[in-house]
Amino acid sequence: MKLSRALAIVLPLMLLTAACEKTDTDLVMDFVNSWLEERGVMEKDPKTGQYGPTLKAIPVALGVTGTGDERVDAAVQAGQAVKDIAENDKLVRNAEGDLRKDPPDRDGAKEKMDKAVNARPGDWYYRNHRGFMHLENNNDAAAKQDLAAGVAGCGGNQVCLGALYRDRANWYSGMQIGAFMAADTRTRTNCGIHKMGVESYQALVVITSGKERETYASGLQTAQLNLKNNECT
Amino acid sequence: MADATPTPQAKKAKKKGGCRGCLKWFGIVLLVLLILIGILAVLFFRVPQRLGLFPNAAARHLAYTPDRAGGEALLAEARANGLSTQGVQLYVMPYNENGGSVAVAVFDSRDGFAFSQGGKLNPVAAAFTQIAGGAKAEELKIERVTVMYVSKKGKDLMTLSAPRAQALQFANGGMTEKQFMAALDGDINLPAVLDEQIDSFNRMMQ
Repeated sequence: MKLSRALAIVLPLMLLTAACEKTDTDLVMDFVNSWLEERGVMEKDPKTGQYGPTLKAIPVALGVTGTGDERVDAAVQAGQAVKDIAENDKLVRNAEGDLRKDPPDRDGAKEKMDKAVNARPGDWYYRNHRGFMHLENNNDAAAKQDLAAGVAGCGGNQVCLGALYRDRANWYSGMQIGAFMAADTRTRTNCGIHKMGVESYQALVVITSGKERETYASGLQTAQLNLKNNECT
Repeated sequence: MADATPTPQAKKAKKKGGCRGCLKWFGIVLLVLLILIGILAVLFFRVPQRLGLFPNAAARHLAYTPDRAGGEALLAEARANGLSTQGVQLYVMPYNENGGSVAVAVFDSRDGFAFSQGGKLNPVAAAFTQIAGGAKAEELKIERVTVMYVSKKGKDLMTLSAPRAQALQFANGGMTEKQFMAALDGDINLPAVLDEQIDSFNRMMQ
């Protein structure tokens, strides 16, 4: 479809629909319209009062525009990346919901977790949460593999590692009060979970400072006590 | 002299050959036109972007895994600033280079997102200021706010990005809506926009 033809259809429709009650999509379309005019992609014909595309519309239509500043381009392109992340995060949330069912839907949870990890294999968040699922299922070997892949995904970046271990500590502390545990495994001893808790707090005690460090040091003591009380080696 | 006059057979053969040549050129021109139309269609429907064939500045400059905890905190702040957060996914994407970051929001109307209307500012423009305008945004070193709007059909209609400084200036009345518009960078999904407009037109005609 040619651009001029496409815009020739779009623009009169924009004007026609402007007179009706505004839905959210209408609000967005009006905003887009104003932005395109502001950027010189469209211009108003002073004689007819109608909008028409300028030459600048061609790269916009073809999606080959760039600002010349890579940081700005990155910020714009991040929208698409985040849309995909949002879809996969939804899968992880639903998988964790499956685990909280009574009885838990473990197959459904695994299917969703696998889908998320396969879509973004380098994202430590998905590796963490599939690892948690494996821990809950007493599959320590698979959990170890996912948790190690998550750490590797950070590539030694301390900020990334800090976020990764905070996520693990947060899950561990939630697990202790039963928030994330599958209904039929809440009371079951799971050494793998306590070991991961200890490791996460140990890392955070090294990475953090001040009050935050004190909080994690206290968490470490609790996790170590849990390990001892459950006679884990 | 008699040798120079072509025989009727030779004339016929020449004429036939000329026609073949015309057809050949017509075919070449047609093929080139089809290829050109094909290239334009591929670009128009964003096939290279979908396949990840275009250079991706986001992959080069932003961390692969977003700061989800930061995003949740920022979303709570945006809610306090008046943003309707039903159907909103907000992520903080740190830059790899200097410690700054981008707040990226997906407004998904399939999940019930609706703009907060009735304020002084344009509701779409106001969304940028609601995300950018708090202490958490400062703490997370947000440099830019990017907003993507997803229609009920699941199509992203627009992705616009504003520098945080300009969003704050606009919120404080130090900038007109027109000036704020000029400060926005972004990408418009024209095929999806066209589709929405045709639907809107059909609804109106019913």
